[in-house]
Amino acid sequence: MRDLTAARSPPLIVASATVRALPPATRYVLRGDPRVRSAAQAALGFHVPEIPCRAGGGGERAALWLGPDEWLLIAPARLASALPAMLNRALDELPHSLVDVSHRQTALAVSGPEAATLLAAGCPLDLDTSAFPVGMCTRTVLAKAEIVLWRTERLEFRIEVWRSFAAYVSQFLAEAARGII
Amino acid sequence: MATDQGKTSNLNALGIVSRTLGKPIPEVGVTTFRMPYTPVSFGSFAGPARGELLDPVRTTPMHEWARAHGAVFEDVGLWKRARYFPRGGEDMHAAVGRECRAVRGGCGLFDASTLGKIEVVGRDAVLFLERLYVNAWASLAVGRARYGILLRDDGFIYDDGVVARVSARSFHVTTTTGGAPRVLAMMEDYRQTEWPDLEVWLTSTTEQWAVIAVQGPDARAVLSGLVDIDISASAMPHMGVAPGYICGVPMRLFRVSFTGELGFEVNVPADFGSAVWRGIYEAGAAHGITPYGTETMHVLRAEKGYIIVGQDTDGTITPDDAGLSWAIGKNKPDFVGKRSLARPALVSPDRRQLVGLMTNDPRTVLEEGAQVMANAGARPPTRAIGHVTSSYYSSVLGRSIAMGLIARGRARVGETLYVPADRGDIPVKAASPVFYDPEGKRLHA
Repeated sequence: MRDLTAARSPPLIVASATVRALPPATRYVLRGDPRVRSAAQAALGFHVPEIPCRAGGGGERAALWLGPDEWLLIAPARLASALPAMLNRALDELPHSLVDVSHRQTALAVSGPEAATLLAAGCPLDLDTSAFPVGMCTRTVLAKAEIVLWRTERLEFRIEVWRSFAAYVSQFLAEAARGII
Repeated sequence: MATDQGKTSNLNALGIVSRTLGKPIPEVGVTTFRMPYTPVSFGSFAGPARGELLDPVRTTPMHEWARAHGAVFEDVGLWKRARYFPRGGEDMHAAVGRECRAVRGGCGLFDASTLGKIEVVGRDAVLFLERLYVNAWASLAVGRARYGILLRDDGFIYDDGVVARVSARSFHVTTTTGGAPRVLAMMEDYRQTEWPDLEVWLTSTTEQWAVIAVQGPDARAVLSGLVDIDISASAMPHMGVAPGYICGVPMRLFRVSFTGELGFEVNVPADFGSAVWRGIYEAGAAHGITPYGTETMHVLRAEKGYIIVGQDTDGTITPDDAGLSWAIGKNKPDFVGKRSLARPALVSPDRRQLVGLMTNDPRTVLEEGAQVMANAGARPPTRAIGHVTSSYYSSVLGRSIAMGLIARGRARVGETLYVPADRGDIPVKAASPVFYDPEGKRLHA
């Protein structure tokens, strides 16, 4: 039997000086009550935030608060099996839902001094650091696509977007850059 | 901006009024000037939403393969879907005829990735689905799937799909391509506002899975060498669901069919969709595996009388109208729309019911949307008794087939009805909407 486990084709994006594709990741949507949050935090070893619109962890491992009972967990692709195994053990007795969305979406980094200006071309939120500080994350829109926007650094954002909208989002950012940068 | 709003357009309107009345503008009188005081170009309103960026163009993981193999695409919402795969100068009619015969005679390959998918998880997942869908779910065993119908609270069909029980507390629910966002929104609305006590959560998995439909009498032979699970008829009967691996890639395998043939839908994580599709295509070469598009899918399902929500239904159709009463869980205390289904207007024998329509001349293909009359020569103000919802030429049956919603349709089966057309009335016979393999033997092969 053929082995196609190495034959991954992530969605294509239009890269530029400000926009780059981030590598494939393990992603899970975790839903449940506050006990689930603390149990997941203990198992993962990084912060799973209880504060709305904040991300815990950092770098390649993070938990993004998306709703009162909903977090997006992000980890390196090599943890595709380990992450759910670890969480299933920790959450087994608690009412919860843990669903693999690793391939549902893809990630882009938007970085540089013009990052916020570029995003503002399609995102209605105030992206000044006073209103959207480092560590803030939320569901929002970029032009006609729904995204999750996370400010990972003062001058860097991570966009999580469903795979079929990734081309549009990156094309939109490239077009917006033509008028700004 | 209407002509009575804003200084820019208002002055134009006043100019027209002044000419009509033969009076200068000051004599006509002006209104209080409001914004916009200066013209705003359409370009400013459009911004970057032009050309390729007018709307997102959503493509599936298999899109590039389809493009490279000459697919003609159609727009389905924001999605591009392969409509047919013409070979050597074929037109759509020829290509679809060939693709249909290939599926019925051997094996076809179809990209079903755009179907909406929702993972419904939690202790009360089964109770949640019991309350939403018309069907009975408590009796659905792990590893089994069932066709599900979702109504609005007015009792009319809202969406349909396959619901599979993947564990005691989790279900893989599919929706129509166009219905995916609104079904998830409806479910989340009920969960949060009507039944917050239920322990259940919803996650959209539409784009997590690439879905490759392998359909036809040779489907099992094509797949059996690629998967690590037993897919024989006894191990995996119609409407079975099983986890496994295909070419080393994790999959959820569904034995389901929208063609009426033995068929499978291979769900793999989307990044693997393209490679697994190619793997199946190469393995199927010995069986003459044929990629087919949405047009062929439409013809094949119509040959079996399977409805498409939004085409054979229009928001005023109950399950009984569509001939789907069998799907309703008769012993359920309640479900969304149940109360409405008992209203006098919704149980009237005069309601429109889905039936087949066979033209007397097998070469005549009716226009979809055409009116259907009880008598020849009937013209307005006579009322139509119904309309044609689906109509195709079936190369497998060597004749045209159609379905329509006809008042008291099932009681009229065998009667001749008339479809007015430019060149006179087209006589059609009302029939069962199942044109092909009415016993369903092929499904269970």
